[in-house]
Amino acid sequence: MSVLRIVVADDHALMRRGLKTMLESHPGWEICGEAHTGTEAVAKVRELQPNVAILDIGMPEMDGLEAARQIRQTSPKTEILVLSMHYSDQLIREILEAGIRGYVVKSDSDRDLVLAVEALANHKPFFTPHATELMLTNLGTSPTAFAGGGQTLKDRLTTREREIIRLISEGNSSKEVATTLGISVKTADTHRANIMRKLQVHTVSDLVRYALRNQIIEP
Amino acid sequence: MNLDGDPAPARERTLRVLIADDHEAVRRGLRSAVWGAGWEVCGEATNGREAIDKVQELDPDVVILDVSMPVMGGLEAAPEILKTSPKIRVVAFTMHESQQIRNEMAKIGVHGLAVKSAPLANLLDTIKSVLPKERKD
Repeated sequence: MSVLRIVVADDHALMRRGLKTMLESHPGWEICGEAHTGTEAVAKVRELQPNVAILDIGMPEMDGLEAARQIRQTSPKTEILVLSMHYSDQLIREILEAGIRGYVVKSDSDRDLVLAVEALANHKPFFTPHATELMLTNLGTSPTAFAGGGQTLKDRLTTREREIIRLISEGNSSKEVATTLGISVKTADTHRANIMRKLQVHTVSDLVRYALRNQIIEP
Repeated sequence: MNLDGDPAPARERTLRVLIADDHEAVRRGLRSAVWGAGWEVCGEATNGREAIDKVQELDPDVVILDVSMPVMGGLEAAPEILKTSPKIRVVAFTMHESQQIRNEMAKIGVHGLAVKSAPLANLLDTIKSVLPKERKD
């Protein structure tokens, strides 16, 4: 029997430990690597070429979505399963747009997680009934939903912009954002203005709501 | 006498822990960490209401309560748990530590606070630190 090799990426040691214990209890499955940031996940997957990469959405430095996009480029044979705190239709759109074929939330059962890994190991997609229902609802309301919900590529947030949203939503000023990221205040302000324009929001409260809804920050 | 009032010396009995968190992934991690420390997970709950019921049913030594859960959060459940099971040790479990949570914990009488993003050793140290002297083995 060939071994199914899995890389697990989550910034919380507790989550990684739980995933490792549960998945390794499955005969023939091995956690061949762990990562705690998106950047590290991309590097580990490139180095280890696992069958499946399990990526948390909300990781520092680079979130799970961007890590998935990069993994798809650098390690196209690795199937990707994304984990998030709760279901979000916006997130499902972005997940599908990134070419990710597996999605479970952290409140889903162990059984769902095992089924997801089994499906992906066989190069088949896996979405829970709840996720599928959200997709179908989206399709019903917007035929272009899976092409990015009407959002053009130009308007898609960059990794740096998502990082800035996280910092602003955590209460940091432009000066603090600039210091953290090693950029000038003017650049931080420009990013901020671009983010507001792309998301069509006008206040920091709107931005925080967006960040919570899309799991850029945790409640 | 140990915590259950049994005549056997307390340190001969495994520490029994109830875990309450609405996320399966968190409970999975907690289960693994508690087992890894040589303790027993005697039950699980997915909200504060369920935690209150399980404490009464299972009489654990320690309950780990997620602060933010649906139906009833950990800090809402803690007063009732402490009222009905005064010997139990309560550890609040949260994504983000804040002075507001610490103040509320102190008011309620919650024994310890562990942060989900901290290394696992911190959680286990927190559990050990809240145990009565005779259980700190």
